[in-house]
Amino acid sequence: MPDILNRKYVAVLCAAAFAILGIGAWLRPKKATPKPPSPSENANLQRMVRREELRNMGSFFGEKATSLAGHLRFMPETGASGVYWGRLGQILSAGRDLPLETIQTSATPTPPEEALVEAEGGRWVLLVWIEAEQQQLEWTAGIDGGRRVSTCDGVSYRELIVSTALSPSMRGAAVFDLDGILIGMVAQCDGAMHVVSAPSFKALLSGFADPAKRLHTRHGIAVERSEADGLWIAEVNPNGTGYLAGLRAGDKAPANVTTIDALLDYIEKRPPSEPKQDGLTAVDPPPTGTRLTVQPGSAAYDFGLRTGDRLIKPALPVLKRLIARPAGRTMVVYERNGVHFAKPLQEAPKAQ
Amino acid sequence: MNELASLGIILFFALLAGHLVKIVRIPEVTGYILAGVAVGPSFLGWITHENLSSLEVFSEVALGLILFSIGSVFEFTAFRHLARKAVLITLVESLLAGGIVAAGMLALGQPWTISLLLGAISMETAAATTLMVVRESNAAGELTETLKGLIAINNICCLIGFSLVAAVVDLSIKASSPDAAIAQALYESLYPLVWQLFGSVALGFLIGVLLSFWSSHIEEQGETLILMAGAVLLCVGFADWLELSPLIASLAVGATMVNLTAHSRQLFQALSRTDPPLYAIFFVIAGADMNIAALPTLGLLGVIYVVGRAAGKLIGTRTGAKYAGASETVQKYLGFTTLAQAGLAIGLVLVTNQRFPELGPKIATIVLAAVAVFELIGPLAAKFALARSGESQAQSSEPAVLLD
Repeated sequence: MPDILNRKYVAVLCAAAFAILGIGAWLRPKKATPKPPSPSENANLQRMVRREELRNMGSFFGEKATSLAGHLRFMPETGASGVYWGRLGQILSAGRDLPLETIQTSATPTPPEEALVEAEGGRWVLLVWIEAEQQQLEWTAGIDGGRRVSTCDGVSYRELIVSTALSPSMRGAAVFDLDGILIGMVAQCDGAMHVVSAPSFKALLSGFADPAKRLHTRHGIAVERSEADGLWIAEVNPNGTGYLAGLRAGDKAPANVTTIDALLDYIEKRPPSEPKQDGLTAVDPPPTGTRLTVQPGSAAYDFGLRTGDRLIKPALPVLKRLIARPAGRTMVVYERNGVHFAKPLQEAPKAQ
Repeated sequence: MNELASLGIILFFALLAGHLVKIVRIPEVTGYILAGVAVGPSFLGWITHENLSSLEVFSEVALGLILFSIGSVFEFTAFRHLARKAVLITLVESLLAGGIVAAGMLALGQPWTISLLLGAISMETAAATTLMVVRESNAAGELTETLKGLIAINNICCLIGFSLVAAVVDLSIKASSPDAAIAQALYESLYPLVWQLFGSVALGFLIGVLLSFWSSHIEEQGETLILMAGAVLLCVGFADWLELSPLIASLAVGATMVNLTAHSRQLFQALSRTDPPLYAIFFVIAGADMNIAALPTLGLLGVIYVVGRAAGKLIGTRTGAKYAGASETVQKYLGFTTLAQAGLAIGLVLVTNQRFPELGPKIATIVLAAVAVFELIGPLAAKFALARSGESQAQSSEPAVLLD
């Protein structure tokens, strides 16, 4: 450094400059910190923020639901909403008697993309459906609470748990995530509403594709086939539509009805039994028959009867006579836990 | 468009404008500014507000370099002959320009706070624009020397004047509040003035000492450039961080270096050979940032500001030069070289918006529109004055060095 200024002066000036910067920075006025809000102000503030957030979220969900409305249609056949399904003009809906069913339609709008894998829980979901009376779009939002394995009429499926209360009017509601992916559908099972998760749709639908299962689920009827009697009613639920159609356990299938599909058709086309004058339908017939006590290990026990069963036919003395030594073929009809069962009691085939 | 592409456009348009202005004989600075107006959001929109925002760092560095160069005016041996004259002229022209503008605003019924703040801002003369015209003109002589000294002192004077007025306005607002603590309010109002003045000088001095010490150990020109660019960046960066004035700090770096380094002339020369692209970017960005749409909103208040400031500068420099014993040439032409207004004035508008949000919008409308006017006529007037004074030597091939 040249001696234009004395080095000592420069050193002193440097020290002074450092001192100015140090003291100046230290003396800088502190920025006033705002007074913290009181607890009541704070609570009020939080309430306002929450209200505002909810309002914003409400309008966001509303817009989202409106944008998804094109995927939905009200189905008069099922009395519920349905969502376009697959690319072949089908609609997936929650039926009156089946948890899920597909219905062929002529319209083929683009279906929503369905979730192939289960999404993580804890996210917002949107339940969108078309209300039956006004045929207008309804929606509600909830939180995806995860999955659990459930069964519906014997078919196992993965149930999507949502934080929203489900009501019967929401049957068929499509459940979307916020990306517009179909992740479930509201279905009725055992009288209660559940959400079937999308990966279980196909399994559930194929489970009910079996006509015998549909007959049991829809109409409360189980049938059996024998060479002697053809198709005959093995089980009837007195609360089911099959009972209302006049079918009883032990009956032979009506004339010209030789297949389960034909029987389904017969029941669905047949008007239910006459209602009483007061407008109520008799679904709980008065108990008939004889209450049984069955000794374990006895011939009656081996036949399948149990204590508490109510014998409807034949009469108890006839059964007592035939149960040890069957002669010919006799249909035994009994009721267990409200369900009527029929079982043939027949003579063992003679040895050749 | 991304930042690099917009930077390329800026440089190409600057080059084009530089050639075109030679045909119509207007200053290069005006050409750069007009090129900026053309490609900026006001017209073609090729450079957006987002681009301008991200390129702001170039403006800060260029302004730092310009002020660093101006700092060379304060070479002790040369400045002691110039000091009395430059200080006297600056004080007269600054106070007269500020006084006329403030009086005009008061006469039109504006509140005293707005009037005083506008008066303080109107004192500023654009250092970068004016010095670029001097450089382009290769001007040398008494007028040029006086102008350089005036610009350096004017910017400090404007900053002090604005800080004082802001402190008074701040104090009046705080004193009128019910829970006012006068001593605290006074302290908070005056602190920025003292801190920005003394702190900036201290920072600039320390970086200048570092630069001088290191430069004596460097011989290669490439290393010299790295050192000087590093010093300017360090100065601007630290000044921003410590809330000091980058303008005064850069000035102090230049002043310190010119007094402590024997071969400072070579250092400034090395810098002047490499900085044109940066200056071109600075002025094109200034033009692009100019809100031409605000011109129609100038109104009567804007006209009073423009006319009052111009009258104050012209009359003030003439009167000051006369009392300081300057030559007839200086008395006659110095005023025309001080009309440009930009950088610091815009910075002070931003400060006003932050400190006095209720006064800011009105002041911003007037000043930003007036800046558009002064940035277009200022370089033309400066070039005219330098040419008429006979100090312009535009034919020289060597770029001018501020240190003569």
